[in-house]
Amino acid sequence: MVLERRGAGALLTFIIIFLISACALLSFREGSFDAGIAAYGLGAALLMLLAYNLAALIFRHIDRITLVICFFLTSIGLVMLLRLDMELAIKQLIWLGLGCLILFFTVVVIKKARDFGRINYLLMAASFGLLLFAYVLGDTIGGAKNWVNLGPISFQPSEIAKVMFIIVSAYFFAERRGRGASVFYAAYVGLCVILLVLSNDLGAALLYCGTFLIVFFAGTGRTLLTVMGLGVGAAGAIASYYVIPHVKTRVEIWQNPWIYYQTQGYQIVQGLMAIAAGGAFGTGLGLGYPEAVPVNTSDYIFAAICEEFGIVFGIITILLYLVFIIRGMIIARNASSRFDALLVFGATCMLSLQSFIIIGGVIKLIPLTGITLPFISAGGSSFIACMCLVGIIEGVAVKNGERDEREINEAGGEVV
Amino acid sequence: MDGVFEAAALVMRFWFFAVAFVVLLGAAGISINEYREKRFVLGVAQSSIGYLHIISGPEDMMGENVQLMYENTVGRSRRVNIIFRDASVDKAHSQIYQGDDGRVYVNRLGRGDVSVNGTHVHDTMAVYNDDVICFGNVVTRLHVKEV
Amino acid sequence: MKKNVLRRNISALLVVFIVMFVGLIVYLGYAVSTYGERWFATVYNPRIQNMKTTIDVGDILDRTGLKLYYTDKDGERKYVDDEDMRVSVAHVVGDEYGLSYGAQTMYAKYLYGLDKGTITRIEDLLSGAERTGSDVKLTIDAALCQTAMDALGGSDGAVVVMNYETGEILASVSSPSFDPTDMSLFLDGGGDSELVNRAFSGLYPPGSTFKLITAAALIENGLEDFETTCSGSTVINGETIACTGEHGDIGLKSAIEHSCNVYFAEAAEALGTHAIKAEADAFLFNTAFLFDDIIMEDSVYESANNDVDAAWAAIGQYHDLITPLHACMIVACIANDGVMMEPKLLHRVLDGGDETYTLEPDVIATPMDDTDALKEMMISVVESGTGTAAQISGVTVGGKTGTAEIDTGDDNETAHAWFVGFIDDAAHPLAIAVIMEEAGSGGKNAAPAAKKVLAKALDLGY
Repeated sequence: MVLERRGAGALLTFIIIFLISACALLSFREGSFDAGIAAYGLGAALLMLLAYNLAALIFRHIDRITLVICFFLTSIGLVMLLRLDMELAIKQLIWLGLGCLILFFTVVVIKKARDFGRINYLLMAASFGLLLFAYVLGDTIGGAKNWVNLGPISFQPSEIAKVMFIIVSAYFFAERRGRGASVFYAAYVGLCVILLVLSNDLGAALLYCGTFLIVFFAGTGRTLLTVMGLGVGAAGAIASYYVIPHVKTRVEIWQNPWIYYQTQGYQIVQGLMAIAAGGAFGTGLGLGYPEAVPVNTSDYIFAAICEEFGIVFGIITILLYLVFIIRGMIIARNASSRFDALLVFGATCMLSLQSFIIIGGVIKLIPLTGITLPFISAGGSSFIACMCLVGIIEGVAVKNGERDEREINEAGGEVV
Repeated sequence: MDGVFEAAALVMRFWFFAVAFVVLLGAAGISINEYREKRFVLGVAQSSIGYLHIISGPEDMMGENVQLMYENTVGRSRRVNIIFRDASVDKAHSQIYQGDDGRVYVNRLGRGDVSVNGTHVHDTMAVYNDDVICFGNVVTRLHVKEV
Repeated sequence: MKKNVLRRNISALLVVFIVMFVGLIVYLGYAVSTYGERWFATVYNPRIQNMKTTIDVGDILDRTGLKLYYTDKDGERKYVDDEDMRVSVAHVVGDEYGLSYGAQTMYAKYLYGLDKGTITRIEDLLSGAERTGSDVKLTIDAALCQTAMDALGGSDGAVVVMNYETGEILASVSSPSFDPTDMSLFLDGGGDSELVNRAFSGLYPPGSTFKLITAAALIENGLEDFETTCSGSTVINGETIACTGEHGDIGLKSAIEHSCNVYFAEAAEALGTHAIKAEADAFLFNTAFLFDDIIMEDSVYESANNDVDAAWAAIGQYHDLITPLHACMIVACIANDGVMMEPKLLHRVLDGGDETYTLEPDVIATPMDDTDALKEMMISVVESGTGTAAQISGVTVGGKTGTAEIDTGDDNETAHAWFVGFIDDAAHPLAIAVIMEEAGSGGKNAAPAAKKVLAKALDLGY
């Protein structure tokens, strides 16, 4: 009885082909050959090849397909950034390298950890501290106080905090921790969300709330309480509509952005025009006018992708996120301990909610919130945090794989 | 030169779509296959109680591991679940099974030889991890799964 | 077992996520395929402005081939020379800054050659040819538009003329209008409502023209023999509804002929507000219009929840709102034996010598099976009723006048003048809607204007 470990070498090859061909095309955009872009393409390809093979070598049971999907999404982002802003593209490549390192590191940590125990309280304090830091010292960019500038480096504390949030939540729902601890955790969640709302980072607030409710439901199975929680959340959202003018604006421009074109609706209208300009297969890389769309390198990058690559490509991207999510959920199901399961589940939920919220906002399915598209959007903190979450998922996948191998060996089989 | 870039970009729209589509199908396809195979193999692995490692016996089985389920019948006939194609093995030679007490037992069904670590089995005998069990001329070592 | 519950919950939530993401995909596909062209063809699209510098934009022609906006031999973009004609087609043709919503924006896809297939575009690119757009031929006749503008005589308002068999719009004018060669006033942020195309986007109370719908409702519900006595006014729930005159014993035909308010107010009671709303909906009130060629406002008919409002609604007041184009579509439907055609503005698209688009009529609604009775009534309106000013010798004209009361707020009650009509002749399938803002009586002011325009149309051979 043999179980074959699935490799993704062929897929990775296609991704490299995609990357190289896109860079080859872009290098001729200015009329004469731009060696810089070609070098970039080769560099990125080599980096991915290196990371993939190292991962496969060091961790026997790492989920290579999930890794490869992340690389493809990242490539799409890299290509788009190359086309839009060379400087950001180079930065993003550096983040890719760093992200891979963080990924390896996280996998090792997760492999060793049982449930982090007391460290969770440290994490709670750290994440809360980060959010407080953002609230107090943050610069308001795009209406939300979620960037902190420390000289040469600027980062988004809420992104880093969200990883800790997942770990802490998994811990508290894994076992019954006692009334005191539960109250403490509930207060922690409440305060985090309040801090985010006060910082006007409504996208992150929505993300934290949503993930919390989902993990709550999975962890406790108390449908009634979850529905009540949803009710409270909805009530909060409705209240914020009346109390916070920002929210009201967001809802109004979602319903009819054209009326507010001169002011708040500008971004949405430009996004829709870009998407429409693309049609089914896009205008062609470099032939569209995504420069007209504000924030086209991070929050609104999906609109730029739809413009130049087409709606069909956009749909394929969404489907790739979906495959990623399905794989994550399967890993969660197969986890040995409740903590591991909730950890992966929470990480997958967060990534999928984040993708859904921003894509939904860009295509005007739901009101727009300012969060990034995982892996594709430019932005160091976001990319690192997402790689960290993938690291969590891969870490548990490795644990699962090792346990499965033991079981199969015990039954006389073999894993190749 | 400009026109060439434009033409190339126009054509490559379909190329990029094709590559993405292949990656999607590949990822989805491999995922489905992997899921199915894992489910099957793990299912078998979980419901097995251990395995017999073939030390000597039919050529095509030398060195292999044979999964053991809760109840197994060993023999030469095609109707048993562990088939040893060897003249010294009866059609229905022996049974290996897990008893209610959790221990593994081996018995004798026909006239053929069954021995455990050299000792003949007349009727039924309990067996343990690493025991050498012989069915006629087929020599196997038992591995019982750790619970 | 806790673990099994957890696993089950995970699976359940996975399903939720799958549904969410599939929803995302479906919405994206649906929204872009339905609204994509509209999103692109908005006035704010910088891409359209961008493309002007790199592409040889196509010409805009009227149905006779007259160039309304074209590139002359020096390479300059020019509008038609005659100022009156230019102003009369301004809304339909549009302006180059995208301030008004005309053909320059709506049909940008064709004018800039964006509808060309990839292979054609590559061929063009590699052969080094200039990127050209296609020429767009509209269904309007500029000379007819000019007459229509004239007929409005300075009143604010709109005129729409349609071919009721094919749905082609032969004329569409909106007043006040503007001269696209001089947009400086608007570029500075000035101007009033000149840029608004009242024909497609102006919502007005239909007034007595709505009685056609109420009449249709009576016919469709078997109440065409409804009769009442008009003593000049009627009282419903304590409120008085005045009539245009004392009509005595009156039936449906006479009521239409003389536009009797009392008759229709009481007929509304007999029908019930839901029956009238159903008929209005059948004629596409309260429907989101999503036509390929045209963007128009949706018409409104609200069911009232008390008898008085229901009565007012039945005679075209209360919250009823309609665009001149929709009014024309309705009368065209009645003239066309109950078949409503989609309004078409795009006649042909020509790329070099090839016709890449040819107009094809589309049916959008069939609210009535037999409109003969209604047509007869409308003919009698023009023959001997309120619309005699619309008579044209040699042809049979049918119509309905309307005097839609509006409250301008300063104690002055005035009225919009409406006339909707058609020519009862298969060789000249023309329908028209005229509205003159605050001009008073429909019969006295709008009907003669309609006559002028229809006569010119017949002259031109339509």
